[in-house]
Amino acid sequence: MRVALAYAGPQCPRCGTTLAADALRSGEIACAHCGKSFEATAFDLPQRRGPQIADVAIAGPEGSNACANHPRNAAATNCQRCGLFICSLCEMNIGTGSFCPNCFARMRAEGTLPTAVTRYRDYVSMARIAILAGILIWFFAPLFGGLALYYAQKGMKQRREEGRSRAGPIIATVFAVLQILGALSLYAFLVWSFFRVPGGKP
Amino acid sequence: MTLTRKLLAKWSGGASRERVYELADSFEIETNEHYEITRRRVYFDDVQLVTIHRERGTLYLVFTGLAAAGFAGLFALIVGFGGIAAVPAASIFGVIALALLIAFLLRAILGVDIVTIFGRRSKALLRFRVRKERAREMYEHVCAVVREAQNVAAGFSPPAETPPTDTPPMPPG
Repeated sequence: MRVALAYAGPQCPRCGTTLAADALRSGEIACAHCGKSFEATAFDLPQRRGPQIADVAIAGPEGSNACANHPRNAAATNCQRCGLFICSLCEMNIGTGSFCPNCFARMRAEGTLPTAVTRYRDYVSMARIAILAGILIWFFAPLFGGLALYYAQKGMKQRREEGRSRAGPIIATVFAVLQILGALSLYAFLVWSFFRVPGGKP
Repeated sequence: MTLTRKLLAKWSGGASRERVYELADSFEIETNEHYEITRRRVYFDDVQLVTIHRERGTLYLVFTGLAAAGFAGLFALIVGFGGIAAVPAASIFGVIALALLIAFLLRAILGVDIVTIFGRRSKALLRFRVRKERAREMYEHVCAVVREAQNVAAGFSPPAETPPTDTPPMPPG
């Protein structure tokens, strides 16, 4: 029984202690660590089937190229990045082509595999922050407004690609335009008031 | 990359916002911290345990309780020294104290219902502040979706419905 720092399977939802295998059951469960109870439904994980692995092992490298990592396996394809022959065990394909494990890990770390990326910039939040900065530091509002406009457009594209609502970037765009226009009007007023002749026409 | 996803629950914490969506094969947890979004998934066929419980949150109650008492104290202090004339000036502290008191009471009375989905590699939390029936519905929905997906993955099909045994016999002829 231990309180898990990193996630290591089902835990007590109240105290975070990793649950023992015998505690994974349906019904009312009392945590052995904190003593508090919670309602749970347990699931038996389905056994994963891997017929393609067996097939490759049977096929062997006779008459075909062998996998670079598993010499007894026939190569199923080759890595699109480095050209290495790889078997079905090694093939990493998440809808963006076949890669060997090393190339896949590198591309994932670089962020060049779009479907493997899990961290994104939230451009709409960045646009909101730029608008807020423009309000606080009003003298530079046109700069911040322009920045907000740029981020809002990127946010619009991001939301379109994800098939999500575009209300956020549209509102940010409207505020950014208003901010630019407001700040320019303020500049014009300042210039006008600086150059006007007191008591007469400017 | 167009995603068809259904929003199940959302939660705003002190420093981040979290939304949980249902996809065709998984639950997606989208965490928004400042200007960065992190997405994680709990796949249906990886789910081992789904739980539901209610909690109050001691830290939240202590913070809102103390803050409400502090602002109410400030309000009382200003009104005490300044008299009735100081009420408009002190009212800002009174309003903040009232808002914090409402937050404290809501949490103390209702609590937060939490549905937790534990996968093999990650977990998802669905939190419901007020709508308790929705929390129960969501718990049942999550269990049903996971059960169906795992049955499909295991190649299991539910038995066909058999006619009841006490069916009356067919009439002769």
